[in-house]
Amino acid sequence: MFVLVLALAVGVLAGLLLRIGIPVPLLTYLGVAVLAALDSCLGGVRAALERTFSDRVFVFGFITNTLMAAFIVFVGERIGVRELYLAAVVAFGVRLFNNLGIVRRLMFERREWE
Amino acid sequence: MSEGRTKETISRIKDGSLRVLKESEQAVEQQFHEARLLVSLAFALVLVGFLLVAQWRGTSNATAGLEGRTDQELALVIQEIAVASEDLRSEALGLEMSLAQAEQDERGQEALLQKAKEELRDIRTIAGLESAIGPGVIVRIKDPERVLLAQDFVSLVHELRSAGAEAIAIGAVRVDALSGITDSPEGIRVDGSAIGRSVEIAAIGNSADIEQALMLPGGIRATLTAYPGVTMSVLPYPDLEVPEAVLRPYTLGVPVHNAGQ
Repeated sequence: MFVLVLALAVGVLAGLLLRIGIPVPLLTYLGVAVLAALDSCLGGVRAALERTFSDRVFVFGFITNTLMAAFIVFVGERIGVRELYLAAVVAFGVRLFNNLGIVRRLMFERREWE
Repeated sequence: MSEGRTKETISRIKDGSLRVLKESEQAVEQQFHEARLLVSLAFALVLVGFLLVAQWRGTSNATAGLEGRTDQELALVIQEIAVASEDLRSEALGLEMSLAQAEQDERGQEALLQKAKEELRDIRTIAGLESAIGPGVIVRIKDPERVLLAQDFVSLVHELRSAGAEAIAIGAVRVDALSGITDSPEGIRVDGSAIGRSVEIAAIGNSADIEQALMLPGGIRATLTAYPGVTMSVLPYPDLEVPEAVLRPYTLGVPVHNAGQ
């Protein structure tokens, strides 16, 4: 778990140091993609705690989720339903909280075992 | 018997070692699995952290400018700008109007000043402080016997003025409001300078009127030429020049509207 927190910290630090500017039109894409990536990570943690983790599934899911999220935003803009990104936000948001809840429960259970 | 036991022992050892081998293999696999888990999750989290910060920074930059604003916010901004622009336009209009008013006032003042200047010039001309040019008559009087008196010239000047003469000069002396014509042993003096036996009197005014007034039967010409030797001719001139009078300081009298101050 410590390694994961460290990894997140390294990512944040890299973001702070590299100072990459995101073009404004891409902000919505990246926002939804970040949400999807976060959801995938929590899903991975949950799978690890449930001992059903498969790195292939995780990596594939991580990439597909992220790209699909951005793609939904793109499609929404193309077909004139810009609010379509809200659908992705809601879906990933719900999943995020769901995974978060399960991860929390699993971690508590594991601690009670030990 | 012992051979069978030996075989059994061997197979047990074999089984045990196989189990240990299998267990150790499983443990290695488990460790490998966990390592892959950690590595993949860690990579993903590094990426997520990085993207989060980038997005965070991008969003805060965008909200600082106009690009990241929503349509409603932009509409509000446009409305504010429109109101401000309207205010500025009306202010500009007001200022333009004030400017036009000021220019008009200035023009009015200039016109007033021009009129005042013209009036002043007229007054100065009438008062004799300006030399004057214009149509008029020249009255030539010859008095070889010196029989004429100052009174006769006063009458002549008075007659000229009555006939509408605006500027009169006797010889080279402009007759103004303070001029005096006096008798002296050397002859007649106008403002102190003596006039000769023959004198020209220039009068600017309507030459026909003046001529008519002077030539009236029983008028000034008749009166003057009745004296022995005196002749008088009246000639109209299209452009006469009458010199200016000498400015005399006004010392004792005080204008009435200034008297109370």
